[in-house]
This record gives sequence, structure tokens and C-alpha cells, in this order.
Amino acid sequence: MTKAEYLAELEKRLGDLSAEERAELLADYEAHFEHGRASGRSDEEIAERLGPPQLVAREIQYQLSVDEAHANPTVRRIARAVFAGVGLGLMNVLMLLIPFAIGMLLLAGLFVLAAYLTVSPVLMLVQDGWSVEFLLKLPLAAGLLGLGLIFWVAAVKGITLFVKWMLAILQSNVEKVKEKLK
Amino acid sequence: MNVQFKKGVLELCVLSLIARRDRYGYELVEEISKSIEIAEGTIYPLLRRLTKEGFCTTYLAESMEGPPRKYYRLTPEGHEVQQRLLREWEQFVQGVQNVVKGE
Repeated sequence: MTKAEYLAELEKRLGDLSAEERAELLADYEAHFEHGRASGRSDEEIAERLGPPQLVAREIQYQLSVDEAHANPTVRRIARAVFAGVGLGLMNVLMLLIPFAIGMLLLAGLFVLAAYLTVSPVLMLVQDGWSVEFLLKLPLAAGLLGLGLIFWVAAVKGITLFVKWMLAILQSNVEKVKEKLK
Repeated sequence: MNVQFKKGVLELCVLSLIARRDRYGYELVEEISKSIEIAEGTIYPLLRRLTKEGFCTTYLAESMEGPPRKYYRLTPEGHEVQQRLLREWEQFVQGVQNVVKGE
């Protein structure tokens, strides 16, 4: 394949590109042939080493579609990105749902425990009725109340951590889909 | 070899060559072809992407022999990416070594 043939074939296959972009790329390949010739190579050999123009054009087109999705994320392009990540589909659901379910259960448990401990002195009163004995149990009641308050704080902290954790998982999923798209 | 993997390695090779000094396209292709078997035509789309992403800039320079040369120069951002890719590569090689040697 001569230089002219190679460049013509490449140009034909780069129809999707803007005129400017196509010209720029073709100039690169033209210069490549010129440099090759200057170092004593035949067109045939240079073309052979470049690889078939079909392959080179495909490489360029592919690069372009990824660039587009990054630069200007429309629904169609994102859909393409998502479909590129479809192989990860099931994984994604499990990776999101399982931590979510576990986190929610733990937090719910913590809140129930905190609520129970906090109101336990009142429950003791209701159960046993008011008597001098209750005064003796006062330190225990205060302890339970304190413990309950600590659990409240822990549960609220837990929510913050949980949200951060979920965001991190979501982010890593997005990265994976991006990687797939590349 | 896995195509995606080879692409990543190619990026590291190109960035590393430009990191040492400014290079023009044909020179880069020649240099890499000496050591790795590639379809040489795939280097130019890569160079275009690296330029678009701001990892390198280009300038034209006349030369005594042959046509004008389009040189590529690494930006500070490009240097960072090169360092990161190099670390990833070294970790990967180390990991393979560990597995292969059964450590």
C-alpha cells in the first residue's frame, strides 16, 4: 500500500470526525510516511508497520466516543457508558444493596436499644410503682439513662458514617463503569 | 496480551519517553517499536488524547533532514500521571512476581 492509498483509505474511514480533526490526524500520518521515507523505508514497509488503516480508524473512532461521553454527558452517551458497565450489573446491585441492608439493620438496632435504655428508668417506675426501694435503685436508673444517651450519640454518629460509606461505594461503582467505558 | 492492558502500558511508555526529553511522533514510534511489538498507527490517537487531556503540549520545529517535526512536551500534570502510572506498573509487576514465585 502506498502512502497515497493508505491516507485515502484512512480518510474515507474517518468520515465521522470534524474536518479540522480529520485534517490534523491525517497530517500526523502523512508526516509519519515522510519521516519513514527520509530514513530509507519503503511506503509498503511503513504502511505494514502502522497497521491496517481500518484498525487505526477504529482506534480513533473509539477514542472519540469516549472523549465525547466525558466532555458532554448526554442521556444517550451516559446510557452507552452504563451499557458498557452492564457486565457489572448484578455485582452493582449486590454491592449496593447488601451494605445498605446491613447498615440499616445495625442502625435500627442501635436506635431501639438507645430508646429502650433511655426510658428504662420510667419503665421501672411503672413496673414497680413508687416506693422507697426505687430510691435505692436510683443509681442503676441513672446509669441506664446515661448508657442510653451514649447509644443515642453513637447511633447519630453511625448515620453520618453510613452515609459516607454508601457514597464511597457509589463512587467506586461509578469509577468502575467509567473504567469499563474506557 | 489483553488489549486494554497493552494500551495502559503504552501510555506509560509514551509518557516516560516524553518525560526524559521532548520527542516528535516518529521518534516515539521508533523508540517504542524497538522494544514492544505494536501497530505503530495506534500511537497517534494516543498522543492526540494525551494532548487533549492536557498531559502534553505540542510545537513544530524545522529539521535539517525530513519534514518539520511535531514535538511533544510533558506538562506538570503529565509528569504526575507518569509517576502514578509508573507506581501502578511497579506494584503490578511486584504482585505478579509474588504470585509466580509463590511468596
